[in-house]
Order: sequence, then C-alpha cells, then structure tokens
Amino acid sequence: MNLLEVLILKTDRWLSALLDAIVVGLAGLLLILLNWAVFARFVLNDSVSWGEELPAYLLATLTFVGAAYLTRTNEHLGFDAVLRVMPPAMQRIVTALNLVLMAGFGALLAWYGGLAAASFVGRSLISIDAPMALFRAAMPFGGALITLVCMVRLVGIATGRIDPMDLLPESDA
Amino acid sequence: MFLEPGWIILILLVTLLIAGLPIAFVLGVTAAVMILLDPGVVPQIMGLIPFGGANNYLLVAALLFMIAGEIMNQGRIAEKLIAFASSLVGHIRGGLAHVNILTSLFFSEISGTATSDAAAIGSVMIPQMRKRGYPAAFAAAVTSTSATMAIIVPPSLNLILYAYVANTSIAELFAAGILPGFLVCGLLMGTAYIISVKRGYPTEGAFSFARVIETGKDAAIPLTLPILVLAGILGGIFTATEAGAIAAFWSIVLAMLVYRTVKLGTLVDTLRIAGKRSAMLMFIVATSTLLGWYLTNQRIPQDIAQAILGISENYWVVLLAINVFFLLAGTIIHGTPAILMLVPIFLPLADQLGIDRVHFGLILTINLGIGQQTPPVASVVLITCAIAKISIAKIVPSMLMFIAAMLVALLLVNLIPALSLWLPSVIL
Amino acid sequence: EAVMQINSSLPEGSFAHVFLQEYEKRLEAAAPGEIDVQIFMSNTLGKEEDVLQGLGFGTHQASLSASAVSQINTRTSIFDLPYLFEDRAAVQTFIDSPAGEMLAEGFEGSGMVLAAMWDNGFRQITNNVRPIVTPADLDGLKIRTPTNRQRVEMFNTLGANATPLSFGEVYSALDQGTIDGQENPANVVDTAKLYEVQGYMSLSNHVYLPTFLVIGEPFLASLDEDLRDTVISVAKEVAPWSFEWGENTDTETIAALSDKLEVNEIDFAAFQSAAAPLYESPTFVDVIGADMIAATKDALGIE
Ligand code: NA
Ligand code: NA
Repeated sequence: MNLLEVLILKTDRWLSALLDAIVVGLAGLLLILLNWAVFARFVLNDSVSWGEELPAYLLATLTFVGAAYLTRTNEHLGFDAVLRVMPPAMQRIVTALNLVLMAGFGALLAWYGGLAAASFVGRSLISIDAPMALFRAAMPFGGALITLVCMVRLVGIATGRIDPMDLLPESDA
Repeated sequence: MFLEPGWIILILLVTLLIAGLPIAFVLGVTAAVMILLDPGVVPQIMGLIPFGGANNYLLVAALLFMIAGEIMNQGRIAEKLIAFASSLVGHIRGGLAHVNILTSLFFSEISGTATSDAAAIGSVMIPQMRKRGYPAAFAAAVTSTSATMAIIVPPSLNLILYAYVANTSIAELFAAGILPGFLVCGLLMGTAYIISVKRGYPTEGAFSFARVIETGKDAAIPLTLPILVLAGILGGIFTATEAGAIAAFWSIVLAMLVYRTVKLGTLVDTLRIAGKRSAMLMFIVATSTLLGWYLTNQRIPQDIAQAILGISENYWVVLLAINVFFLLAGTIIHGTPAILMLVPIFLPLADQLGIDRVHFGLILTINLGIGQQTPPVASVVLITCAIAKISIAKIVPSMLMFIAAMLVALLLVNLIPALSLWLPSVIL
Repeated sequence: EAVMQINSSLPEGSFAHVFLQEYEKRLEAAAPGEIDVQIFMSNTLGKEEDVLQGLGFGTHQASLSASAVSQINTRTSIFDLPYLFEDRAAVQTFIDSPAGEMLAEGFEGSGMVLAAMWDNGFRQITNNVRPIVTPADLDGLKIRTPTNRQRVEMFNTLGANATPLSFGEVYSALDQGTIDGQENPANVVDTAKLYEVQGYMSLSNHVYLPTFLVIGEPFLASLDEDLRDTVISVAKEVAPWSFEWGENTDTETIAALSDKLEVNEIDFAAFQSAAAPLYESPTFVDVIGADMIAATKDALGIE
C-alpha cells in the first residue's frame, strides 16, 4: 500500500466516525429538544420561543450531513433492478456515469450552497441567538463530501479495485 | 426549444431511474440540468431551495415517529399486541391469519411505515404460522398486505408528507385515514376467512372473555399511547411533531424501564437507524423541492392539468386515469418520492375537478400502499419474504386474492368520499 | 417581454392576493407587452427567508412581505413601536415623509429595493376575561404574541403576561384556556375563527404593520430605464388604493365580528402614555435606531 492509500483509508475512517457522531447526535438532540418543548408547554405552562424554528434548522443540518453519510455507506434509496442484470462491462460504465452525476450534483450543492451560506453570515435565527450561516453550512459541507466520496469511488471503478455491485444498497427487487 | 421542458424532465427522470442512480440524485440532477440549460433561471437557486425544503418543522415528526416505531420494534412490543389480538379473533377459522391482520391494525396506530410494521409483526407471526401448518407463502402474503394499514391508519408517514406537499391539515388527514384503515382490515380478514375455510386452516381454540381481559391488560400500555397521541392531534391539543416526541419518549420509557427489553446501546443504534432513514427521506424532500421549484416556476403542473382536461373533463374518467397512473407509479417508485413528485403535478387537476384534498390524499395513499405490494419496487414484500425465507416469485400467487381485496377498498374509497371525509367532519 | 414573479406567503384570496392582482392589472396596462407579472401565493416559490435572499441573487424578482423584512432592514421595526400611528392617514403621511425615505434607505446593500408599502392592518386585542379599556384591564392577562422581542416587551410593559406562541397553536390554546387572549388584525380574528373561542375584542390599534413590496436589484437592472420607473411608480400608485380598500374591509369585518363577540373602544391616550417608556427601551431603540425614531416622530408631529 502506498502512502496515498493509507491516507485515504485513514481519512475515510475518521470521516465516517465524525458523520456517524453528527447523525446520532442530531437525532438525539431533536428527540430531547422536542420533548423539552412539550414539557415546557404542558407542564411548566411556559412555551419555549425556539419551539419550531430551531428543530427545523437542525433537521436541515441532519439532512445534508446524513446525505453525505448515506453516500459513504451506499444507503441512498434507488431502483437498481436493471443495473443488476446488466453485463459487467456495462455495469462498470453506467456506475461510473452515475458517480460522475452524483459528484457533479454534490459540487453544485457545495458551490451554490456555499455562496448562499456566506450571504447569511451575520444573521441570527429569529427565536434564538444562533448564527444562521452555521446551519446553512451543512449543505455545502454535505455536498462537498458527496463529491469527495464519489471521486474516490470513480478512481476505484476506473482502476478495477471496486466492483460496481459493491456500491449497491441491499437489493429491493 | 426542440422539446417541451416537461418532456425533457420525464425522459431524464426515467433514464436516470433505470440507470440505478439513487432517487434523491435522480430528482436533483434532473432539476440541475434543467436549471443550467434554462437561460431564464439563475443557477444560484440551487443554493437556496434544497435547504428550504429540508428546513421543515412538520417533517421533524417523521424522524420522531421513526424513533418510536423502531424502539417498539426492538422492544418486542408487538408480542403483547399479538396476544391480545389472538384472544379476540383466534377462534375464527384461519385464526393466526386474523391475529396477524388485527395486530397489524393495532401496530399501525404506532408505526408510520409499512416496512417497520411488516418487520415487527412478521418476525413473530410468520414462524408461528408455519408451526401451525400455514404455508410460508400464505403467511408472508398476509403479513405483507396487512402492513399497508400502517400508512393508511394514523400516524402515517405518507399522510404527513402529503400534508406538507398539499398544504392540508395533518389532523384532518389522520382522521380521514381511520375508516379506510378499518375497511382494509375487514376486507383482508374476510379474504383470509374464505381462503382458510377452503383450505381447512385451524382455529386457535375457543373464545374466552377472561383471556381477552388478561391479554388486554398487557396490551393496554402500548395501545393507550397511540390513542393518546391520536386524541391529542385530532383534538388540536398538540401538533404532529409534538405527538411524535411524546410517542418516542413514551416508547423509550416502556422499552427501557417497564419491559426492560432495550438497553442503552440499542437506543444509540435506534437513533442511528432513525437518523439515517430520516436523512434519506429528507434528502429526497430537499432535491424534489428543487425540481418542484422548477416545475412551479415554469407553471408545468397547470399545463399538464389543462392537457388532461383537454382529453376529458368527466370527473370519473379523469379520476380513473389518476388511479391507474398512481398504481403504476407505485409499482416502480417508493412512497416518499412518489408523493413528492406526483402530488404537485396532480393536485391542480384534483382541485379543478373539485376533489377534496383530504379525500385525494387517501386515494393516493391507498394506491401507493398497493404499489408497495408489487415488484419491481416492493420493499414490504421483500422484508416479509426475507423473514419467511421464500422468493418473491413464490409469494405472488398467494398475494393475488389479498391485493384484489385492497383494490376493492380502493374502489370504495374512490366512490364514497364520505368514507374519508365523514369522520373529520364529525370530530374536528 | 420581462417576467416578474412575485412571491407572497399568504394564501389565494387573501388581501395580499387582491393587492397583487390589482398591481398586475395596472402594470400590464401601463406597459403593454413589455412585462408579464406572475403571482405565486402561499410561498410556492420557496420559504420567505430564501425568497428574500434570492432577490439579491436574481433567482427571484419580487416579494410582498410583512414582518420577515425586519431581518433584513431593522429600521422596519419602527412599526413595532406601539401607538405611533393613529390611523391610515398617518401611515401615508409617514411614507411620504423624510422618515419614509430613511426607512427605504435601510434596504441598501441587501440586494433589494423597497418599491412601495401597501396596507396590512391595525392589530386589535381579543381576550376571554373582560373588555380592555385602560392599561389596568390588561393586568395579569396571558396574551399570546408572535416570536417578536419588541411585542413581548410591549405587552409586559403594559401589564399583561406576554406568551410567545406559534400561530398554529393559538386557537387550541385559547380554547383550552392556557392563554387568555391574543393580538392580530381583525381579519385574522375572522378568518382563523378566533371569535369562536374569544369573548371580547378591544379596538386597541396598538400596532400598525404594512406589507412591503420589495424588488430585487438584479431584476431591476435587467429592465430598461422606462420600464424600471413604471414598475416602481405603479407600485406606489397602488398604495393609496390599498389603504382605502383596507380601511373599508376593516370596517366591514369589525361590524360583522361585533355580532360574534363584544367589541369596545379603548382609551388611546392612556395606552399611549403607558407605552411611553418603550420609546427609550434598548429593545426598540437599539434595533430601530434613535435617528429613525426621531425622524418618524418629526414626520408625525409627535413630541
Ligand atoms: Na400508521
Ligand atoms: Na411496487
């Protein structure tokens, strides 16, 4: 194994752990915040001000970080019945094209999402003092990671180190 | 342009879908291509709209109900419901089939997705049915088709999504789902009865009122939860999202402290599963919102509605066409993307025909429920076949009768708007 | 032909829809064949926050917004100062004054231009306990407000117990008695059927909020000069019409509501003096700007 491969493997492991922690953390945080909001409203009789706005922003953050994680673990929902029965050479080509499209879409989210996030710098959520750009950054972050993961895979497919079938989620047909 | 944008979009969607590109990307790439090719649209829109689609309080409910359903699943709560259902309907010919269906109805009130319903009930009921001499294919067919009730009976992930896309009240949709859910339950049990008599399937002993009370006590705790949640939503006391929070919290208390079937490590796993599933759903929401924005911007839904009304303006002809389209779409795409893609296109049509939006939501949901039961995309069937250890090809003949029963339910819900609309009008 | 898509968060058939249709009719008549106005109600072109940001990027052309613009131009929070405008004539005086100009200048650098301010309405207090005539009547009442720091402080200063709550929860909270009252324009009391769960409506007119027609700079830059002027001038011409329409509709709505709940007038002067400390409060002054407040007082002839 050369240095580059070791680097890629290490980055991958570290990144997966980070994404996992964010996804589990955000799901747990939403569970706690929403229950606190209910408790405050019905038991303390004192509604929290961030009740709707903050959870919605956290869900959006979860969405884009989670989308990168699902790309990494091949768990996005898809229709692969046709891809599965293609001859291997064609599978390789179609999978490579799919990866190019995914990487391209990730890059668009990263670039335009980044511009949008930057335009929100200095603004805060209405109901609570939290920087809007921090939440908005989840989309460029997730988009960039999707591009990164797909590019590495594309190299793997091109060099024959990755079997296209290994990139499919559990079969659905 | 050489082709109308609507046709380019359709061709792109179908091609990318068949090529096996994940559905969220099928929607996102199609939208991106259209936006980049259209000189009248500023591409920066791609930096704003997907985030706005995911930035949604209502859909936090989906995550919370997923946590609740997954905990109930891990916590083996289904077993208590099965014992109770068994005491109620086990004495009928084909007893375990009825127990399976009735448990599905109970579990439907906790779970919002058909796959979690099929997994929770199938893993207990299918081995039991096999032991009592039911063929694996029959056991799997009953489990799979009855799991459809999960998305018809509230809480329902499909109805939450529909409420978001169609801008209708969740409470009304939830109330509207109750009677059609019972109808599906009754028709499936009737079908199971006819088959059981013909094939001589056994009963599970005589009816005993004492056993109903005894098992009812065990089932009461898990069953009071959905009743509280529903009463809360329908009574306007809390939002669907708050109800989801209460359901998740209560199921954790139940599974970790009362039954002690779930440990802390399992809770983290559950958060991971629900978090990932929610991200999967929401990323599809995000990219479909971008495509939806382009469609709205180009006023394509109105054009499609006009085109269809140009062929026929007869209420029943158009309604039939919509049903056929939904059924076909349901066989090749999953519920979430189907709702997100089809509703914005067909809602203007339904509005013009004067179909109530709540009624339309139920029609759509039942169609998609049936679509989940047929290959090529058949996530629910797939799970039950995995549990029953048989191939999809073998289960198909056993499913035909049950699917026919669901088509009857679909027909009745179409023909009789009161089935969906009467209950909301009375209790809301 | 230029396409001008206008976003609104309000549903079809609302007053905002009526105003936008009037604008569409007048603008298309003033520049025949040059511009196609398209109205998108209920935020179908995106969340309001994204739409407003998109004006600067050129993804959207225009938006008819209300309180959402306070995130972009904090001077618009002037409309959160209570008992500032006695009637709609005062609002129009303000719009045409140097203070109105100062408000419009607050949009500089945000990528959008304030074309016009149209009607929205005076807010009234409803509750379940008693008619509100003097500030003392508010004592201890739990009044729902939007998630708006200025409104919360205002009601707390007047002696009520301000309870911020999202609008979707208001009806049931009133029904169950977890709050005693709320404050909104009369048409909201009517359309959200709040009269079913409220006994009294006091014509407090405590706050007036207009709607703001904001137009994106990239869109304006894409038009030739004549058309650009027409787009703005027609928007301004619709303003007086909208205020008249609003005034008449308000009168009709309040008359219809008086059959459903008890309606009363308030002691405006007593409330004005009770609210005086708010004009010095940092919650208002730091956000709006002391110069903006001073200019507004000047324009309206308030000491
Ligand atoms: Na359900
Ligand atoms: Na299917």
